[in-house]
Parts: sequence; structure tokens; C-alpha cells
Amino acid sequence: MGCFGERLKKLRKEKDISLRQMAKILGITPPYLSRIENGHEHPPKAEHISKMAEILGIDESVLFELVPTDLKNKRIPDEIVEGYQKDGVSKKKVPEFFRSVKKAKLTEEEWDELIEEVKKKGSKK
Amino acid sequence: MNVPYLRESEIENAALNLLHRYETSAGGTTGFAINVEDIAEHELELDIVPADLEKDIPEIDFGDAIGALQLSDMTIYVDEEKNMVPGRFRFTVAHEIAHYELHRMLLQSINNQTDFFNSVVSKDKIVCRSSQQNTRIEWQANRFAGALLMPERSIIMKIGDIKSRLGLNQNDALDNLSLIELNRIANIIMHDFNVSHQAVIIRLNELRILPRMEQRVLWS
Repeated sequence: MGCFGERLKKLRKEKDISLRQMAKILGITPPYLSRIENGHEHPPKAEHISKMAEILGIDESVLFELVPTDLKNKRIPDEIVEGYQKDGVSKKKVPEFFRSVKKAKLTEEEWDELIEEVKKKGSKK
Repeated sequence: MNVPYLRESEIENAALNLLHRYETSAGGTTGFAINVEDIAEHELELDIVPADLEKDIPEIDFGDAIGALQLSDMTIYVDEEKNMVPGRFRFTVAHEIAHYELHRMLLQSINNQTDFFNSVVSKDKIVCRSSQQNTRIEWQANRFAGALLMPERSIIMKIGDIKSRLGLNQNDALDNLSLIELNRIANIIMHDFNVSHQAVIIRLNELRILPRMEQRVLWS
């Protein structure tokens, strides 16, 4: 649980941003951020991690890579994650895919296009 | 734990030294209201966490603490509810800064957690409670906090300024002033230094500026 918080604290201090400032921008309480940074709390939800990366001026993958895999997969049904693993895909690809889709804010049509593209890839195998 | 004796002048100088360090790195002089939160967060790189200590930070046994310094996390914890009086929050931050400046080496030299007059002092933290204000370690921290928030030179300058404003003779000792005038002086210092009334009276007493007889009246 500690790696994420430790790194976050180090990066924040390097940017000379106070804990209270950071918490305020993120819309979370200073005690909650303090508990995350000091390893007493799991990393926060994805949108807060993205926002943290934005504040720190770093690529969000730097922070997401430090989130324990079981935590990343928490909201993804087991059968889906296990299915990918059987195909030899690493666990971290699944949450990464969903995060990218969420960030892209796809329209209904774009979703259809994406599904079609995936189906095409499947039919070639 | 054996807390070494420190002379008043040593504590005053330690506070002034920190202030000079801060002024040097901040690139200028500070005003009357010393920005102790900035000193903590940027000069000393200590995080300040205002919280309901018992509820929000359950992993540390705070009990009825007013504030605490956790060295391992480089964090000052301040209980929000117990520091609601204007200026009180700043005093608690200054008090924890004092522990960092005066006592961190001492804490690090402790091997085991020690019960210390109802306080918890351990290798990496000191938890401060109102019930332990008379212990040496807390007295030293309070004296440092007063000196940091209200440096002697600033207080003397401010009193001179107030005397001019109130049309009083500069050479008049405070002994010769009426209670109403003394109270006005205390209130102006409280406002300009952004500290509590209680902190002003204690500081004027420490600096032997306030006539002893008047203290009790002003205190109330």
C-alpha cells in the first residue's frame, strides 16, 4: 500500500506543493490525502489519480503503475480479467483499456466503431 | 526522558534563527503576522494536517491531543476543533515547529515509547495535550512559539507605534498606563500579529513588558 503514497509525496514535495493545497485542488480532505501518502489508505479512485498527475505535471501512468493490480481490477468482473489472463494478456492491460476509453469520452457512434474494430480483429484469428 | 534545560535566551535565539533562515530563503522581511504555516510547509518541509485527530487519523493514538508532530511522516497534526479560537491554530503550528527545531534530536535518541506526564513521546512523535503544559518540553515549545510569532524586536516596535497612535508618551512605561489603555495595546497586538489574546498576555509577561499587577485583569 505504501509505494503509491511514498512516490506521490516525493513528487508533490519536488513541485513544492503543500499537502493542504493539493487536497484542496483535488477536492479531498487533508487527513485523507495524508493517510494515502503515509500508506494508511489505498490509492484513491482513478479520476483523483489522473488529477494528481495533472497537478504534478507528469504522465498519469507513472502513478497508475504503482496502484496494486488487485485494486485496479476491483471493479472489473473476475471472468473478464481471468479470460484475458488465459490469453496471455497482462493484468494491467484491462484497467488501462477502460481508463483510456473513459478518458476518450467516446460517443455512441465511436463506441460502435470500436466494437466493430475489435470484432474485425477477432474474426482474423 | 531527560529534557535538557534551555535558557530563555537560547530559546529566543533559536526562534529568531529560524525566522532569519525563512526570511533569507523567502527573499525579504516578514510582516508583523509571521507566516508560520509557510515556515512549516516550505522552509521545514513539514506537512500540516488539520483534522479531527481521533476520527480522521485512527492509526495514531492521539487521545485528546491539541496537536502533534510525527517525525517519520514529517507531519504536524492540528486538532481543528480544539484550535478554533482565532490565532490558536497558528500557535499550535508554531508549537509543533518548536518541537521540530528544539527536540527532534532528542526524540530520535529515545529507544522505546515512554509515558511522559500523560503525553506520548516516542522515537518518532510527540503528542501534545493541554494537561501537560507545565512539563519542561512543553514549556520550551510554548516559549519558542511565542518568540516565533511575536519576536521581541517586533513587539517593542509595535508598542512604540501604538503609543504614538494613542498619543501616549514614548517614554511612559506600561506601568503608568490605565487598564483600558493596556487592553487596547493588547488588542492591537492580537490583531496585527494574528494571535490570541491569551498568547499576547503571556508573551508580554515573558518579555517583562506588562506590569504584573495588571495581568490577572487583562487575562479575564
